[in-house]
Amino acid sequence: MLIKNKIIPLIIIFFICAHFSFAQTPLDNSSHRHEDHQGESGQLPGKHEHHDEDKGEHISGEHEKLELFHAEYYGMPWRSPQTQRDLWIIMGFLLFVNLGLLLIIRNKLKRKYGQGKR
Amino acid sequence: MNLRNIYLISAITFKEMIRKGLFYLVLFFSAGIILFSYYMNFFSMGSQTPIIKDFSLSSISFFSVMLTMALCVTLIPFELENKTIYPILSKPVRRYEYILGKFFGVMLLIALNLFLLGVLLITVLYLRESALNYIIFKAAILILAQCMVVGAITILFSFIVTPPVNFSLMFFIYLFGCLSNAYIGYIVGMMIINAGGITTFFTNVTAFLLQAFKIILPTFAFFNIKEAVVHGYLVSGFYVFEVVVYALLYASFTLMLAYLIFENKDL
Repeated sequence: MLIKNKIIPLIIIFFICAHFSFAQTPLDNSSHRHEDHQGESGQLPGKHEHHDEDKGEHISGEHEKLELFHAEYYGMPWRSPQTQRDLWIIMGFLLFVNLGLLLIIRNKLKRKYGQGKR
Repeated sequence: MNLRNIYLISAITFKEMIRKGLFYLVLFFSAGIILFSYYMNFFSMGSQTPIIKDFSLSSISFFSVMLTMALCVTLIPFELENKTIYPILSKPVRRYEYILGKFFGVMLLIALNLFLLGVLLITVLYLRESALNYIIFKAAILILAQCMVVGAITILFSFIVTPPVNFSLMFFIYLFGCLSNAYIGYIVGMMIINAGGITTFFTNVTAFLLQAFKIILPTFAFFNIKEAVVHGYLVSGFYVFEVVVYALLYASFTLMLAYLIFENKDL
């Protein structure tokens, strides 16, 4: 009952809030890239460069996005600002959930203290 | 909270685990791989040092995680099955002290394993380059943090499923967690291409579920700084601090859930 009444709602709230916060993360970039590049989504980063050369005025913005994408794609999370942002958001939610669980455990221990249950 | 109880249980767990052959097997196997990479010339076209670093760090990371899973999978279920947990809990030891003591005992062993292998790797690299690679310590700290998360989740699942199912599940979670967000975005993009460039209900649901798993499950890609070690990039101490805090928060969240399940369990 405890799991059903308290823990599962906490986890669901955490997931829903995290989902809307992560709406702009690179995970969602597949659909954005699909809209921007009209069918080239899902391709490896190198293939985008030919497309960027045609649209000269968008090169600098696209080049920065590509660099950040490279940093994360090629396993260099410490260089990606997106990773830093993701880390802090996840830590914020974990802190919130941990405080909630600590309160539940504290109340539980208060109720059972002195009854000899170990 | 009685810290003495936690310390005593962790010390007993540490001694018990160190007597098991599995620790020595993993330690000597990983050490063998590090020494083998030192003498391995056929993969290197030029400098052998990146090969040594890449090979050694991958094996240290992988085998440390496997050791953590193997130790934590049977940590508490065997004691419950053999009823050896009763004498401990009948003393003034609370269930959360018991879980914390067991967890810290295993983590001490993993830390010892990482320390020995880290020193060996630094020595091997010093013999090769005549320079000390202090970034290996940062990588070792992050591997330890990764093992903390894996260990905590394994202990949580040990109250819910049987040890073989637990191990398989944890292996899947570890593999999935190692994938970066960008790679998952690439998988979703390929699904869209295979569907003819149209986002169907199926692709949207799959993308949503992948995103959900990516958020709920731990992201082990954060702990991987192998590229920095191999290519000599700088990794700031603040990044290591951030990831360690993330690991501590995730492990504490998982252990609190484990305690709540254990508290309601009739022994």
